Amino acid sequence: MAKTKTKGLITHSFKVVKRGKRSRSKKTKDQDAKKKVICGFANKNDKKQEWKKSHLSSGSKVRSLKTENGLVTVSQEELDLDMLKQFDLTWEYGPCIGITRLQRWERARLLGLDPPVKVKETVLKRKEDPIYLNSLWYEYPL
Amino acid sequence: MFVGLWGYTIKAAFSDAMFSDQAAQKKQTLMGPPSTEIPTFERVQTSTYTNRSDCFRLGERSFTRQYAHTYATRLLKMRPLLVKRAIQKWGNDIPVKTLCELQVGEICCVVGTIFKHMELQPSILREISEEHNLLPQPPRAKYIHQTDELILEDELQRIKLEGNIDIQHFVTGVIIAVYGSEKDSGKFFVEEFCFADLPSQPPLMNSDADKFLLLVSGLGLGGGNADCLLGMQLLIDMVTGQLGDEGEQSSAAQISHVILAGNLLSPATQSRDSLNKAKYLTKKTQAASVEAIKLLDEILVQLSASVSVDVMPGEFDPTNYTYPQQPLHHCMFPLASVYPTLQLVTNPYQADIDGVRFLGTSGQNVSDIYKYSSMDDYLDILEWTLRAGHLSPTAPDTLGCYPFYLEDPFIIKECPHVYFCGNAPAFKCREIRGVDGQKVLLVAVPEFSATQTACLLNLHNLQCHPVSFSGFSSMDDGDMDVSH
Repeated sequence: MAKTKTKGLITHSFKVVKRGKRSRSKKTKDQDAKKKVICGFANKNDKKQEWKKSHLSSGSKVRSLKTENGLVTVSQEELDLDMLKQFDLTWEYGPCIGITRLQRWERARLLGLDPPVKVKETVLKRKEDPIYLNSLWYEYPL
Repeated sequence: MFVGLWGYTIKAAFSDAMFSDQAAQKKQTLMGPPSTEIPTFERVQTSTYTNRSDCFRLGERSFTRQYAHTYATRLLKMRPLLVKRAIQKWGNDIPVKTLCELQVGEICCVVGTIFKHMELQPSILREISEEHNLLPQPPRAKYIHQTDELILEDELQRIKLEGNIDIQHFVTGVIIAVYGSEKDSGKFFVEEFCFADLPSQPPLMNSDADKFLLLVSGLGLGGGNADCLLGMQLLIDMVTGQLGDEGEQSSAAQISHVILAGNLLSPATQSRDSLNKAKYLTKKTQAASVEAIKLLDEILVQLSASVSVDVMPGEFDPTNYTYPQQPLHHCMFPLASVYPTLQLVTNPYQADIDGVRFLGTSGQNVSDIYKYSSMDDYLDILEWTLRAGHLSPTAPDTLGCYPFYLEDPFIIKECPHVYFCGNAPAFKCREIRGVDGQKVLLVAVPEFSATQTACLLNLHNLQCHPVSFSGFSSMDDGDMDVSH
């Protein structure tokens, strides 16, 4: 007997994991109000701009990058996270899911693959922060 | 061979002057009047002992990982060894490529992990899937089938193998280097292949005098088999010097070490019935292994009071199931753990005893390869694992294994002098040689509960002999003359 399918969305079986939710729970509402809005010559609909607005804390460094849309300012945090993401996606160092970035770096060093020292330093700077410490997919069940 | 007062016999099969011959040289002192002075024999001590099984100890365990890490580290670690062997075998100028760089028709060498696709391999997914309505498969002796195929995998891709490669001689998880070319069909035609072969061997610094080491496995306590208990008591009495005349006793004093290689408890102690019964029925019952462990404790206290004993856990012993098995806990042996001569060690076990490097397991790795390949002889499988450079390549595929991520401790880094496995069906030993001059003695230690045989190894010249025990009770000895 065929089951009558209700109009179910995929999000009913797989919970949505939103990046935005985390940052909101971490920072208080006061901090949100005090956030600096960085202007650049970029497109106002640029999603990156919105992400920056919700994630920048008042003391972070800001850098300007030239892209097709004009000058886009990128924070040091963003660059760091991008570098860590590239480290995760480099297949030469082995699988990245299930272990922390430090563990993976240590393993790559022991196997003689010469992982960049900058990656380890970046993770150690913010090792209490799970976004830095763990791999890209750490929130998903294995 | 001698016959003692109570009609027990001890046979030792040997090829050159060994244990029993030395005993026979001394004068017979048993059938004589009791003497006023009792001769004592000092046991030879193990002069040097280093336990090298630290890589098999697990500290804090985390099971939130997949096994991909184990396979990845295995391949990454063994790749340079295999490239070196490939260059040695096929010349300096062969191209070593990864699978994504392969061109059709180009002869090259590829290094990767073998995956054996087996039709009959038990698959839990197939069993619990309701679509197929399959009943669970009964356990078989061998799971090989004609339609099995070999696939070579490296970090990114996989390719099917065909050609001069015996499919049933391989199991999943071995790292090999193949030499051949890719055909139009998309399969890789293998002309030759090679393993990592024996690693470098530390120098042998053995003792000058004859010193013996006893290897026993498969005691099988708690199995309800009374005959093997008799044989076991004979073994203990022989080792502790309570059997035989002065000649035998002085020879027994030269046994410096005993290794119990697994399966100390019988499979009968692992009854699963109590799990399914209702609580009120099983409330007052005790697990069968409790009595068996008490018996083992009594045996160990007799042994460790006299000689150094290393106890390795086996498949049916109360420790973790996955490889590497952790040592049995000392709280189970209140009587024997008082003695410092008792060492509870891991399975697999590696140690330097009197300058001789020992490496061995309780046999699960060998019996697993036996099930999934066409190799029948335990000694052949032992040699094969040594040449493949890995203790148990089938872990974690068909043999339970801890999800390692940092390194694979089963890769054989240094070639042992003695390589043994416990719970073999029969005693066998052989010496093999490596390309770089390594010499290894392979020993298949038989199961004591079935064969009543133990192995006596001479640490001076690395020769191994079986020692078998048999007892006969007065009931079945029909031709005993009782008429006077």
